Amino acid sequence: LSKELAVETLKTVLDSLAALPGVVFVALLDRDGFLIESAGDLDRGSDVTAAWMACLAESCDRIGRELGEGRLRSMAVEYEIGLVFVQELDAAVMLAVLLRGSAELDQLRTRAHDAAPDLLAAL
Amino acid sequence: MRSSSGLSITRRASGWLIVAAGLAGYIGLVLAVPGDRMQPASLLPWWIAQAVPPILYGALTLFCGRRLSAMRWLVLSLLLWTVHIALGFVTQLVTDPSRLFPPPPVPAILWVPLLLFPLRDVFCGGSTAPGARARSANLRVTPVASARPGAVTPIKVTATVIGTRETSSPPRETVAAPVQVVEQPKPARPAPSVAPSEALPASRPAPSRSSAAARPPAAPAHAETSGSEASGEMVRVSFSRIAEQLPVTSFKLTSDRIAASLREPGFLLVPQQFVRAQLLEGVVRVRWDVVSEQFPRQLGLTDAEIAGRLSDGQLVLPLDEIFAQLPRDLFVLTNPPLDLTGIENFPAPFQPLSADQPEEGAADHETAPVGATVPVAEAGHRDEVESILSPASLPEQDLEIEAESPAQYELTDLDLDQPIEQPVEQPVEQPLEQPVATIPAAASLAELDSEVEAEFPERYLDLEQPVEPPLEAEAALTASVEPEPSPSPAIELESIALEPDQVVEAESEWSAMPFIASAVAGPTDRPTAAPVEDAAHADGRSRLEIMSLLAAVGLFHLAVDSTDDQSLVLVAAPGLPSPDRLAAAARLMLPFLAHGPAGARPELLTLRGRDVTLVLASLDSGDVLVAAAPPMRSLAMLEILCRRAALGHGGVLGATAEDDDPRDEPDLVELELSTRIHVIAQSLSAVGPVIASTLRDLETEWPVYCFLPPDSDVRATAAYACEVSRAMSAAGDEPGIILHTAVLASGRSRLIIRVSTNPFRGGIFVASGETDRPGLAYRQAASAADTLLVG
Repeated sequence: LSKELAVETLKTVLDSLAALPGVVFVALLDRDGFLIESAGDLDRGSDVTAAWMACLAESCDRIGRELGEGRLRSMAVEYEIGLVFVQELDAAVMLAVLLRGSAELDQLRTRAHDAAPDLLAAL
Repeated sequence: MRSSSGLSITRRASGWLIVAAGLAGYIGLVLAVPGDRMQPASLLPWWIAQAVPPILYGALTLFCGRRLSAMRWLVLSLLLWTVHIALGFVTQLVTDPSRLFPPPPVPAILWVPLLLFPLRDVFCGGSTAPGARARSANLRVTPVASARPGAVTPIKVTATVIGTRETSSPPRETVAAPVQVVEQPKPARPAPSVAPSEALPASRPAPSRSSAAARPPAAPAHAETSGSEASGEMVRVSFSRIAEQLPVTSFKLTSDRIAASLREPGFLLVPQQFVRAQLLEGVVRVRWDVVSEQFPRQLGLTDAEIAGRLSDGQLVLPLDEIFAQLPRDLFVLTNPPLDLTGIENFPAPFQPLSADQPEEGAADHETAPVGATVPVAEAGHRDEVESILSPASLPEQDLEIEAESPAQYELTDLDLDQPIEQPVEQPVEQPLEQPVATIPAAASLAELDSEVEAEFPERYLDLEQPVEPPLEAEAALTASVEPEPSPSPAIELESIALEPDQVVEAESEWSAMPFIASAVAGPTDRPTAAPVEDAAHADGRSRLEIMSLLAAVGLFHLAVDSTDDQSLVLVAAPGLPSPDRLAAAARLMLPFLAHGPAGARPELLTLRGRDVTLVLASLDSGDVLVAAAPPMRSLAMLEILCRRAALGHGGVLGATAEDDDPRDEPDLVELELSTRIHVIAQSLSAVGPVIASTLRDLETEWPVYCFLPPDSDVRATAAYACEVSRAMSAAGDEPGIILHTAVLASGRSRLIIRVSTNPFRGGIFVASGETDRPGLAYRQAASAADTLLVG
């Protein structure tokens, strides 16, 4: 029962993040880039999108380690159209968000930071 | 001098603005408040009251500019005191001329400290600013104004000496030269023509090629990137390879005329910096506006129209042509040191080379007599060169005969869009006296390789960089210069370890060059008499495409293992166990890729281990793709790419196995379920409702915990999991490969098999079901398995 509630909690939290202005897609990923839960509407497969975002996080993580700056905590990569935001929740879970426009990034960052304990508790 | 400091003009202006505003307020205060009310009866003797301002200013100066020298601190304090006295004198003139001297501390003491806002920057260079610490470094780069498109921004570079000089030490990053000021206009867009050495101080020697070769393996990519950007190196791409992406039919010119009208006829020049930045993506694109100037103007469409008809306004470039033109050290891997334990039990050529033992193969590699000359028209077509160099195109016949039969070289079909203009121009310069059964292929490979090196030293190989030829080529070279006709080395090779189609290129410098590895490590590249097959070349192209696909997740190393009917196309990331070990481990798992527990063939079989992850997918003609990577976040993408690779090469995703499963079912007995098992079953929500059951493998006495959908054949699945467990255990015999989890995937279905790695508490965990959230399913399964297998 608790597991089912936890999954519902995950979905609820991610839905709240997906409801933020500009947010297209929110995904919770494991350390291999597999989808744990997601929210939002995408034209393409959510698993593929999540996997690409995990690749991006891995690259950035490696850059940080190569530079001696430690592990990746969070990252925001701005593209021509959208923005990818990734935040490490713990060593095995990360939150990845696809955002249209960068105006709402600060709000998203704050909300993601606030939601992290709830997400981790639900896992 | 200050104008060239790092201070912001805006900040200095605001400081003076504060001073001005304070002065206005001060004047207002003086005019509004009567002098006697501003000078209350002093509680202190006059001489103490006069001492307050200099003490206060000294303290404020010390606080605001902590990095001031004593002299500057004194000067600034005195300056403030002087201003204070002058201001007090003027104020007394206005308010109470009867008491001109000494002027009272108030109200001048209210305004004078404001002068510290601008003056502290003047005196201490803004040391309180966050960026001040950066200015204490050796090098100061101070852009005076922000760069705007097209604007020219003056830049001032100041190098200062920090630390002691070490004239005898090798070049270091610390600049040991006196102050050098370079002031030059800096274009807003990078100028590619400036060589890096030109920007260095004269005392700093330019990096030599040998020093570049001695760099640590991870460094070259970055170093080369900056170097190539500066020197503006170009990659040449055949126009015919990208023509189909252009709206050629809308052009006024034909495709041939466009190709002929290019800046370099037939080829598109792409800056290497664009290429290198995208290599890891597995796809290299270039925007139209980058290359548009190379096209003739009379195309009939504007640049905007052409860009609009391209995918994302970009051209996708052929990777095979690009790889062939990139420096070799770009692909140097960071392999760990070779584990040569026990190698002394093997005879030559498997003995490691000692420092005092020259690399015979390498020496012969350079001095070997040229057996056949193969001039190649275009330096950029290394794929074609390697096709020729490949022993596949040089069958086991006399080289003289081959040289007289140029048609032999047309066997290659890797890419013949740009035909070689002069396939074989010269006959054999030094014909061999007798045909050599298997050696000529490898020997000629090395000889021709040397010639191509000499002809295209920069594009092909760095001659100053030590190069180890493949073991078989080295052995063959040694044999070819051996005067005694005693036992054939090829036979020795066969008798030692080299089966006809065995992967032997392993962890050598050659393996670091994927393109060469792909051309050399084909199934026909063996020292023994393997027949040449046209299909091998088609396979080679297909394998290159697979490697290009998987390069997106950092898998660059391609090898082929054809020791059995089923060829393994192994694409691996750097730093993993050698290809033969990976292939051996993968072969143990092939039966499970051919037969799932219910008979259907799974799309993918993913094997997770402590240090390595293997993803297996079936290709056409029975070949199997084996992607090997370290544990990483890109595993999900790796699986997606493996699926794509299988689909793009005749893979049979989820097909029903044609032959019967030959495995024997192990003896299993059913055990009673505990409450804990039921609780765990409920926790596996991501794969849907599952029914728990527990069996015991009588052979190993291990419990098998099964959590399967209601309609599953529990006994068959458990038996399957036991076999998988044994195979994974056997794969662990290969050094560096310890597997603990196998996942069979078909569409949404997942079968997760996890094996205990605890030697004192064996067990197998099996969960199955359909899911859209594999990450959650794996997480729940891992948690449940840990509970059951670890406790």
